[in-house]
Amino acid sequence: MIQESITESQYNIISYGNSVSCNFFDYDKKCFGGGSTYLISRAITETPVLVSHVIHPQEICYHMMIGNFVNNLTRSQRNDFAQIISHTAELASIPKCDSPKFLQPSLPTSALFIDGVYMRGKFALLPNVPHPTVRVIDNHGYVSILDCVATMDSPQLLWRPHLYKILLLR
Amino acid sequence: MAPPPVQDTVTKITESAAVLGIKERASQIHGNNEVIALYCTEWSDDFDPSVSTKANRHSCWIKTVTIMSCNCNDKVDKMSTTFPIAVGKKGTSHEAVEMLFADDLKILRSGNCSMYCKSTGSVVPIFPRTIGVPTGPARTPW
Repeated sequence: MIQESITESQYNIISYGNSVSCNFFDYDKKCFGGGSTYLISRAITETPVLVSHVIHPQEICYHMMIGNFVNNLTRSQRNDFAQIISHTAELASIPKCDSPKFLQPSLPTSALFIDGVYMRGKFALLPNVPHPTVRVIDNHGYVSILDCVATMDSPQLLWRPHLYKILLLR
Repeated sequence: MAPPPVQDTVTKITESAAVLGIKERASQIHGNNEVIALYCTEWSDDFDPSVSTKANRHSCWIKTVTIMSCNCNDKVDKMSTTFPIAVGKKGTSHEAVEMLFADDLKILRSGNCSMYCKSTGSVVPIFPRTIGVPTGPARTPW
């Protein structure tokens, strides 16, 4: 309190300049993290009133991370992301049972999992998706159209970035 | 032979005379047997990778082919059916890859090719034809 009174009396506090910033920092001053709670509450309930008691702190953190992440995505990537989250929720809700018919659902909850299961390694998903072979012809990376037609029914979106990468490296 | 009926208003590429012609020809050759009629459009141009580790080195040249089924609607994402065929340096001769592409295209158009069709779960003959020509200076040599 002493520190606060000194600051307020001796220094001019820089104006936030707009109501959006003012509101955020007003709530943040009242309680630590209150700004984020205010933002999430406002966005979800579509009301300007803070209803922090209905939102769990972990959910606040979760939505802030998502907000930060989707900010850099295109519209189509945002659609894909929403679908992934939806599938994740469905998978997570499958009750665990002892039936040997299905493996227990595995969710990508770590960077290590994403790297090992999807990206790299002998058993990873992406390197094993059907894809055309890249050859080097006269200093060009080249893919036969015959290979492209043959693998048309494979999930191409998965291998295309890898193919471009290989072609560019050639 | 009577030309295929063309709609008065063409709003999709699948309604164009070129694609309708490919479908008609495919059905004439293969009759009632299953066949996958494909139309391909090729494109090539130079570009500069500005946001990668390869930026500010040399400009590149790329050739792509979009392969679509004549029965597909236009809502299919073209990017998911566009294949990178060749990548090289801008300004160098691309003749070798263009000739190889032409040879591959000849094989594809020979009528002896078939592919696995996931929807039917069987191997089905294909009837591919190219439509359109690339624009700009990177025109193909044939």
